Amino acid sequence: MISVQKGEDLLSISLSTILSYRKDKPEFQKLVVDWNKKILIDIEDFYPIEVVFDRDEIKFKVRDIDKKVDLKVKMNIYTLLDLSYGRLGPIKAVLKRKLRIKGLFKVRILLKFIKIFLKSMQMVAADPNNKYYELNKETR
Amino acid sequence: MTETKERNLYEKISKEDVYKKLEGIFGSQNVTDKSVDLYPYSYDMTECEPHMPDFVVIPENSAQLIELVKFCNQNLLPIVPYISGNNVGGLTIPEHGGIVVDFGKKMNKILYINENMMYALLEPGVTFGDLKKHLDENFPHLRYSYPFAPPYAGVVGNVILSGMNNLSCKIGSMGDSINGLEVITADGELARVGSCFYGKEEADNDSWWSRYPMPDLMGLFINWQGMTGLVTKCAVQLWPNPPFKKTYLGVVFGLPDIGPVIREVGRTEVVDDISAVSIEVVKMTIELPEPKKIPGEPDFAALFSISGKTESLFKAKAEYLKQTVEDLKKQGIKILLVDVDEFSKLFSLRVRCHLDLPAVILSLVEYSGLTWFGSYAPTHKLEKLIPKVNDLFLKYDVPPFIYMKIMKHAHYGIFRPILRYKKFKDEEKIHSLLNDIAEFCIAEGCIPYKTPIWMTDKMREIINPGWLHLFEKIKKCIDPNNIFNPGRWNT
Repeated sequence: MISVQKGEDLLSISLSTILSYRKDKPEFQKLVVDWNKKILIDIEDFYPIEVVFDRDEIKFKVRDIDKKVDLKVKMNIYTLLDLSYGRLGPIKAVLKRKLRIKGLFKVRILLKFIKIFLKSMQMVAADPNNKYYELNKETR
Repeated sequence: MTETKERNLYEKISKEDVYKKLEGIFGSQNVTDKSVDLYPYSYDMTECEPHMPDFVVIPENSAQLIELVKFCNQNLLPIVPYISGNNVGGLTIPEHGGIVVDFGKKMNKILYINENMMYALLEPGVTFGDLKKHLDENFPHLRYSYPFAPPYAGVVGNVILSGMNNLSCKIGSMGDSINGLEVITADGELARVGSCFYGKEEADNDSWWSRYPMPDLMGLFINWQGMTGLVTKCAVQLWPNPPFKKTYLGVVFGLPDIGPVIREVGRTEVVDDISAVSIEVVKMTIELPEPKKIPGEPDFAALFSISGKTESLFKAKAEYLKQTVEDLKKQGIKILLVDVDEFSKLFSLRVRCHLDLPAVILSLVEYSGLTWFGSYAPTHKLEKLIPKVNDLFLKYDVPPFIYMKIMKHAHYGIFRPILRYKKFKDEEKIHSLLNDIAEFCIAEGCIPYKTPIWMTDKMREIINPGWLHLFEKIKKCIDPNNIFNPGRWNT
């Protein structure tokens, strides 16, 4: 079981939505549990956010961000949407410098980042369900 | 015997005799004087002081209401119209007791849809949910416009109180979308205003197509909060339902900068609706009831809806919207424009409650108390209004909730700070905040609508005496015994 922190700022709300999407799926759990990495995501015009993978928890930090992280990723909101909706592939995004990655040579971390983040973003985007009122029947 | 603030109601007739008369008109099943039944009609979600009615009646037709009005006029008994009690202004609280007329239960029929001239003829109790369902199922090529209100809120109350809906950038105030009214005046006479005025008998269903060009008597009933008569029928305009629709989300960084953004986009004349909310409201929508803004977050989120009868028309409108946003960026305004369908999936689908109207909006109903300073606003003042009101919210340690609209392609705007609170707990603080907001905004020229009595009292201090005298002369002329919703606007 993986727990994803509930976001309280716009970016962590969004990342929480994306990373919660398949948190109950075994293949996702296998990717995430004990990964123990810190990924800094900087969405231009917004603010940097650190995603902390800590054993079976995924947490977000927007204050007191660690100076040393395992991977730094920078893009704007339009690139994020293009990557999610399949209008742009990750390699092309990097080549066009729309997706800037510090730690590009940490291949294993990078590949896992793509498997965790990009795949989840694409799955969330591809879900045809728009029924917000059926999202979580346990609340309210 | 019920003692009211102003007078003893039952000087001319005993309460028992009133009950008998009401039973005679409406039938015993449709009249009540039991406290348990009356209580829900005595209050709303706002700060307005509760007051019990003496009776609630459930009418089925105009003939019953004519008899009621004649009886009440003769015996000086107040009549308060009620549809679903969702207003935010204490409008149906029976300030002086009397008889609440609940239209919502039985006078709730959609009487006619005219496809050719695109209007719906409604009884007062029709809800947004009723109308949407009826149009979607039977007239999918037509649409109505809907507010950020639940499906069980009334259509007629919204239009005769000049509400604003999700086509307001295009059509303006909903008061302008009324084609005709049937009303009962204080002497019990049934009058039809608008193009339905021809004919001595019942109006032809196809005659409710325009408000003009005869002397405009509609104004005697719009925004009077039920003080001039009982509306028993209302024709509202419908619009073609274009097949191509999309809503864009603009996030704006910088509090005052949302002002020029919504004004300029409004002036493009290609947008059906513009509504903007403080970014905190976006978080409230997704179950963060007391959100805090963090550094780097945008200040406002605005929704821009576009529609087109053809794809090329739709695309041209979208392109013009994008170009307008680019032009705003060149002026130094930081704004990001995205497709809200795409964005909401990656953010939280819950924000879609603002798109699929009518809907129960969580941020408006999650507390027991809800009030606002809902006003029509001069749009050139937005840059001054927004930061000051935002500061007032923060001063009181309340998350800012500013809601704005651009009306009729930027001829005017809506500026509506909204306050949610826990009744009996935060009331004092919230009233004080609302009072501060009202004083500042009224001084800047904002005009509250669906106005509570304490606010009209404040407005009267600065309204020109000529207007007040004219208003009072009309009220006295049309309702000499002050039986219709007495107390409203300090009558």
